[in-house]
Amino acid sequence: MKLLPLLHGRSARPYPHTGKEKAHVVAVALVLLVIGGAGILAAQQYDTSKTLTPADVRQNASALYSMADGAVRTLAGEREGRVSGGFRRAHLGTLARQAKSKAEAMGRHSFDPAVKRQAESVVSYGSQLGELLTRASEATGSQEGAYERQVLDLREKLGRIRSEL
Amino acid sequence: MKKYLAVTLGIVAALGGFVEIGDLVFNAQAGARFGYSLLWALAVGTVGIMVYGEMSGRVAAVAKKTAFDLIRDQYPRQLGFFTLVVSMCSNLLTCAAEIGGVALVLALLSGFSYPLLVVMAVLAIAVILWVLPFSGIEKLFGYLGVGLVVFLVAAIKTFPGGTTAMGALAPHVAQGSDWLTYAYMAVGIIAATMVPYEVYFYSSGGIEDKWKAKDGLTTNRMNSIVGFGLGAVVAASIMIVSAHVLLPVDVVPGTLGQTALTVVGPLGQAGLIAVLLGMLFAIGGAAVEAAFAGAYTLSQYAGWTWGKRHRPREALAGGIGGSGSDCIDRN
Repeated sequence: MKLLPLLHGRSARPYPHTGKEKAHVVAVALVLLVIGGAGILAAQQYDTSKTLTPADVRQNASALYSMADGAVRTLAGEREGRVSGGFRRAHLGTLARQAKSKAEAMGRHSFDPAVKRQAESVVSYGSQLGELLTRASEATGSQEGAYERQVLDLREKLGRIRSEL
Repeated sequence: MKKYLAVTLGIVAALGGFVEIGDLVFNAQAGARFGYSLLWALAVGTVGIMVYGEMSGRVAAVAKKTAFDLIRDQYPRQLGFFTLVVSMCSNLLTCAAEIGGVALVLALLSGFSYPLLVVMAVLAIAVILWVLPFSGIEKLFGYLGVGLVVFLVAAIKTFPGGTTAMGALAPHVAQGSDWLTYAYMAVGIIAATMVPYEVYFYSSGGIEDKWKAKDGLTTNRMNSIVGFGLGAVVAASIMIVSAHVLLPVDVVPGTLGQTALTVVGPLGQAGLIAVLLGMLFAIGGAAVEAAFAGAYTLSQYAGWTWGKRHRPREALAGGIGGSGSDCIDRN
């Protein structure tokens, strides 16, 4: 069926085609993109109904541990004069958003009873990490040492949970 | 002499233009999770992009046809259109990811707000696309993207010493990791190494640079084999540094900042700045190439006038709003 003359490939030669035909191609491409995007969003929505297994909780704890490690390296780097204040603001801001988002997403799930305690701790540490990194990203130079110690503490706690699972 | 210089500069541009946001993400994560054991996936992807790039460059030099000219000419109509739609979606998503990456690196360099920098990155890339000539764009991003060679220096400096067992290079999953994640990372690395826009841009670039069958074939072969090969060495360095610095502490990088921080230990602040600038131009170059690739594929498939040597007004007149005679392909 000749739906769109522009789509005919070999049979459509020689050029040219009208503006209307070209607009059809662009419109079809845009509609496909919108449908694809809606599909991805729907799939994400479906995913939140899942019950988190010990492996999932470990994965979340590990991800938050990695974020805390990135924050520690940034704060230590700034203290040692290897990382600029601009880098610290931007990087900790990004990590803070990721930590909050991870903790919130995890908090929307139900947990396997065998790891409920650890999972709730991970959600709590994730939220704390998010808040702490938000403040650390906005801090002036004199407060960095205190933030570094607090982030280190959270990293250790998350590391312990990760080892338990 | 001039010819050799042109080939050398082409190789440098291909090297600098090889690594993009997907390579940075997947190679850094693969190294942190699986050490050297996914280097084979990078090798597979590199051979793939070399073969496909060289082939499409050769067709461009000899037959003066780009990848999408061939798709339109040779594919059945439904398959050709499907390829166009899939390619456009891939280019759009890639371009969006690269623009996000540019803004992230700018934020790390300046400390300014990320949403503001996204807008600025879009505007800057639009201006560069519109104003700079093709060769200028190729050189600006290709040459400055070579800053990523810092990863290679860091990989050497962090090398733990002794000999690396061949078993470390063989495909294997470390204890505590799963095959599914390993397979996902392997697919991700191969896909990031063989991003479709690179080939569309490369073959269209051959037409833009007016490669001739005689000299163009040498340039094409050197760019695609040596340039992409050296680019793969830089990409491998990202994985290796990550394996040296992050794997021992069981940390998987989730941000570009964490990947950049891996060079701070061995190379200090200068290394960090160099790697961030290298990332900025490598990712910026990829954003520009992906945007061009989208425009090239649509124009080539539809038979519109295309090419940086055409004035924008001329291209527009021959494009969407053009009359019949304006639309005749001048390539």
